[in-house]
Amino acid sequence: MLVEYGKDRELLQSFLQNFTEDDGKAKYMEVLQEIANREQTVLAIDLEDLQQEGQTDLVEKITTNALRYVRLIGEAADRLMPAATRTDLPEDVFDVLQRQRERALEIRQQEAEQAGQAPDVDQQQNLPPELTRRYQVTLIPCSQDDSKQRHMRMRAVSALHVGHLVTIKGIVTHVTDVKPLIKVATYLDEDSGVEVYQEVTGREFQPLEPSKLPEQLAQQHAGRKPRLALQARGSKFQRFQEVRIQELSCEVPQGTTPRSVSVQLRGDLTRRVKPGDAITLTGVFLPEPFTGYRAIKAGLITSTFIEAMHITHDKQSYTATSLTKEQIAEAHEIRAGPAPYERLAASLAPEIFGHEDVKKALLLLMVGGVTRQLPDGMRLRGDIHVCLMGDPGVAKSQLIKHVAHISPRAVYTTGKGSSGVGLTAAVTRDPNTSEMVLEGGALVLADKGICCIDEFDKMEDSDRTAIHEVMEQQTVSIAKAGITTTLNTRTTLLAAANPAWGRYDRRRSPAENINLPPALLSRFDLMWLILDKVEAESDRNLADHVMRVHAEGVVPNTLGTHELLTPDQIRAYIGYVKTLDPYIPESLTGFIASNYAAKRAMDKTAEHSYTTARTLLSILRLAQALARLAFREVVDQGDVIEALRLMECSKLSLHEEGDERQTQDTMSAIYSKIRDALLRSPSGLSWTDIRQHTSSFEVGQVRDTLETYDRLQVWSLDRADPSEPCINPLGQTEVQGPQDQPQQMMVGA
Amino acid sequence: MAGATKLQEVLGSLPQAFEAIPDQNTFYRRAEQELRRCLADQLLQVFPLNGVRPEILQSGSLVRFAGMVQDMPDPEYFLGAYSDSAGAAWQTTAFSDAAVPSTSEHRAIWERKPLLCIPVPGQNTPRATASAVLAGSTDTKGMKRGRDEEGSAMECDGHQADAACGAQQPIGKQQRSSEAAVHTAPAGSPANPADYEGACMVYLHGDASCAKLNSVIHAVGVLSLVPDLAQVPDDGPANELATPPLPTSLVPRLHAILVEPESSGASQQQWSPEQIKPQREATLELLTSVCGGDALAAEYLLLQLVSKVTRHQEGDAVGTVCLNLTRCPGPSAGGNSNTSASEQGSGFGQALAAALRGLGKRCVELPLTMQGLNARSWTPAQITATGRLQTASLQFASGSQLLVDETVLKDGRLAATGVHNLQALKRIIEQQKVEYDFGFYKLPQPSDAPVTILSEGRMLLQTLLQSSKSLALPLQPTSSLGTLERVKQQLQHPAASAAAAYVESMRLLDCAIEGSMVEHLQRDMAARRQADRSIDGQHFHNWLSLVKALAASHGESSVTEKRWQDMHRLEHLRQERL
Repeated sequence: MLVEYGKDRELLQSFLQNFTEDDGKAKYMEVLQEIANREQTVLAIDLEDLQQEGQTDLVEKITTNALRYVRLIGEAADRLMPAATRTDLPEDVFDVLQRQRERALEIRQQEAEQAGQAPDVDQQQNLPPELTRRYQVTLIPCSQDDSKQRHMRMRAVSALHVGHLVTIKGIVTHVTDVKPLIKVATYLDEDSGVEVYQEVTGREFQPLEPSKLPEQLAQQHAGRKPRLALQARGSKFQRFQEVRIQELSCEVPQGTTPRSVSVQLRGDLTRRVKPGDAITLTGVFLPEPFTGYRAIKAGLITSTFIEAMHITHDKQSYTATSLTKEQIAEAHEIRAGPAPYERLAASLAPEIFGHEDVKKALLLLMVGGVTRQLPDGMRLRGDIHVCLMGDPGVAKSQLIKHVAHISPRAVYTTGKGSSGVGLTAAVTRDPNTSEMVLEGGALVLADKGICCIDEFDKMEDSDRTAIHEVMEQQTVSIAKAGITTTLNTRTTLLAAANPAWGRYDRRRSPAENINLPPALLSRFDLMWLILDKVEAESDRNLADHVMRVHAEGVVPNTLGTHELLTPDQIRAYIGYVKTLDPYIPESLTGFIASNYAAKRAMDKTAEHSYTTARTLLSILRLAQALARLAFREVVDQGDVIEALRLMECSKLSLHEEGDERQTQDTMSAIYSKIRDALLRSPSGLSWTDIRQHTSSFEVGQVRDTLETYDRLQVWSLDRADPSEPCINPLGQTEVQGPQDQPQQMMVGA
Repeated sequence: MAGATKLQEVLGSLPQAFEAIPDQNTFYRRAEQELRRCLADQLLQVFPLNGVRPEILQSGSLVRFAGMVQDMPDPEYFLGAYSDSAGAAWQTTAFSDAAVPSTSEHRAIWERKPLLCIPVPGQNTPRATASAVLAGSTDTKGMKRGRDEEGSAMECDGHQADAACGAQQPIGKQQRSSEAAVHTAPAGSPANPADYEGACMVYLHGDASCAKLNSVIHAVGVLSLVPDLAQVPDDGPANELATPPLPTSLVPRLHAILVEPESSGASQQQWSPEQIKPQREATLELLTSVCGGDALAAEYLLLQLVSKVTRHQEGDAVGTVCLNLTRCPGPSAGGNSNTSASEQGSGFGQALAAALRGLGKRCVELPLTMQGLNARSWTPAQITATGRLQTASLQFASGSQLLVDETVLKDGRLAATGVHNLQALKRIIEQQKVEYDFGFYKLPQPSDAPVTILSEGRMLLQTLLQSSKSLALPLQPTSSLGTLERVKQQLQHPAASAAAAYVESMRLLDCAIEGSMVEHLQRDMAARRQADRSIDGQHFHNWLSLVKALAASHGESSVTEKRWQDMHRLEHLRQERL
């Protein structure tokens, strides 16, 4: 199987010589110059460059017979190696040895000439190129456009890939010390001063036996036994490190254990990884060569390894979950479809019935508002924190588990936390490396994501104090075991809490009910009480759901009028709208301020008031999230109205008595009908219009609704005919603002 | 030895020389076909390796092995084919660990996938206990078996003496490098011989589909014992990270020609309703007798035996319920007063486990003692140093019954390990998943084991679970509870094996809820919830799991109104006892 490499050799040489980048620089010749000047020790060949040159065949050959071509590239580079342009290079041990070798050669040649023999030129050729080379050739794999194509799964590497260049991902589990590995062993014959070289390819080598000496030397000695001594100084060593990498958890198929491979790092690639690193590795898959004792045992197991060529660290960032064009197009489609907001909300946890407003709140939580970094360094969080409360057994946990499932970066935990790390952070000793490490708790792990905490009320005291900081400043400060640091916890908090006395007591305040300090509760943008409603409908739905799981194993994918979206679709939609940064226009500020002021004013009479400046920020965040959902860069009045409605609903859910709630539900239903109509015709609605949209409700209820929301400043009524009120055009409200509006409240905002 | 001639026949029918490098997949597929042809339906006549000490067999003989895949080490690469010189014919080293002649110039590297198989946990298989092997007391039995295999007996003695010496005297002359590392190792260290008791490394060749972790496989192949395999070469620095292979005296190597999953060998027997009824009654009778005449408990235990996980939904597993038998007698009342009670379940627990094992093939017994809980993790973990998966109590084959005996629990303080173990149990009950620790991350592996918990009063695990997750059933024995001896006796009876066959067949039955029943059951469940607000979704899940098991126990493949009513009758009786 002799293959002619002559042609490829020439190709490689001309490639190194002639390859120019876009800016006209001869890339590899510059590298070679740097190597000659001892400023660079690696000659990294980017296969992409070869591909660009149209050498697809050659790239193919290199990837399937990597080591051979690495050698060819080295030889080509040796021939092209320019002279050093720097003259201030210090002379090192290699230079001295090289000079001595040259001189020894000269002397010997002279001797040979004097003796009338032909000049012996073989000696020079005997010098292995490895010995004098001051660089290492590595290969960088082609980076194809499709990032998924770049690596293969670790378990896909098989015996068929021996000798191939493979790119795999893995997590580093073991790392050995860096040791010198002999590349070329140099022996000196003490009698004649002749050096003999032996190239070492594997991990082990057998010292040269006198009987296997090169011919010339054997001739010189003519029967005499040469005395060879290994010269440590004249031999070439290379840094060498072994690493074991394990398959990534996401690449392990169900029902199997993770694979691992051992990797050899040489020269400049050593000390690049440490245990726990997730890396993408390109290297040559090789069997351990059979040398020495092993050669006798050949046929038994061969150990294999990957000789590393290129390593990149995989930064585990979740921020850039890039969306495909199809996904964006689909998001636009959903947006253009009927009732996108309601449809998205209904698609959350479809197995849980009803609770439309809660789901809307959760949807907004996933979308989030806009985080603003003020010029003075202050940070206004955009995360919308939500706390769900409710009697045990209502679907709180399922709801938040579903949010955790849908969100690309979410951590689900319970207030008690299963590990000793708790929610914030802890300093622990790593069992694999036995080093002290700072281990992030759930909140730190969910940085830039959502942290779902079930049984929030059962949180440990230490976490409870830290969580104040987490929720508003979005950092957590640690001072433990000599480590003082601040970790980012830019986390959206979704909490579920059980009432302190088994059942929720509406006569008491939320703070009393869930046994958490009001200061903590005020940090939640929305608090929601979920009650177990005695409704035949929901029971049927529950039965239907459980039945489907048992009978068919599928969750019903249509519910009501909306076709439900899959978690992937929701994920893509939210991922897309998160890129928008809606702002609040000047024109809306008056409207918002007057609403806020009215809310404050109402609090004076209400029993459990908790309207604070935080409430105002919450309204803004919710409105921004709503604008995002509608693909708008500007928040409009409708967003603010919906935000106010959600806040109001959440508040009502906490305080109203059961029967009142029933009417509230009707009221909400009427309101949402009118609001939809109003959004379509912002120029106002006449009484006939209103009745048209609310024909299924009683006149009295409709009138109550109009009045209630008029009081809430959601719209303004034209009471020309008190029995048949009309809604004024939108946008007039802020002008009309209530007369008794206290001015200082606006300042307070 | 029948196996030897068969093997000769199979290997002889395979091509011996190739013109070019042979394709390993084609080669091994051919071998499998040949073996199937030669053996036809005489698979069971191949000498079983289970429960036999490998030393009595000759390396290279045809054996079969059944076991659970406990670990899947990295693939092994070996010189599969070689040719002496360019143009010469290629030969293979198939199914052996033979060395390639050092004169060969061209060598092809092939690959095989090892599966570390262990005796199925909780299953009755003839197996020597660890202590017995160490004391060499199974020798007589082993010798006898060995002599039965006439031809190999002579050869065996050497091996056997060798191994026995290795087992008894850790620092023998020859074992210094390989065996000593194993036997002098402290308990719990990587190659603790007790962990590998009865284990076998089965090698899959070619593109044979890889069996899943924890599945039970049957393999037929060539036994290979290579004493110097595990020997660390004395010269040269060893690869620091490489794990030496396990010594073959501890874990024999089996080069599989044929591997089959367990279920394909299961009986495809068709049962008529007339056959089912008496078998069902016989099974119930046996269980009733174990429960001291409590027919209701027996009924529920039967449902446990025939239920299985049909699906792993997002969070939860569908198809099994958790049964909690309360008012079970503690260890003192059980009457079994021998040896260390702390490591064993109560007398009743042991008897019940034996019964479940006898009827349902395998039953993993888990006595919940403070000592046991705190001693070591029950979830499997990879040993960092060797990369091998350390097996643990909660690694079991799918289709096992998990019997947790809380009656032996005494006061004490739970350590972190204990809490971890309880949470692992909770995970099995709720999700039928076990988390395997692989160092830098954990991987949940699905399990399929209906859980039955025995407790004296309210069960400890109750505090961890959602209230309606487990079905509590106070035991009401009318006569004395079963004892281990009595159950063993009852299982000897031929009726018992017929009952076991019935249980196995019914368990494989896929029971569905079809057509109008779906609608009807929905309405019924909703109506029940309207009447009783304490009923929640979990009850619905339990009911549907129970009714499917109930229908399956009657050999019906779909749920009927009658079974639905029967199930509610059972549930009603159970509620009355609370």
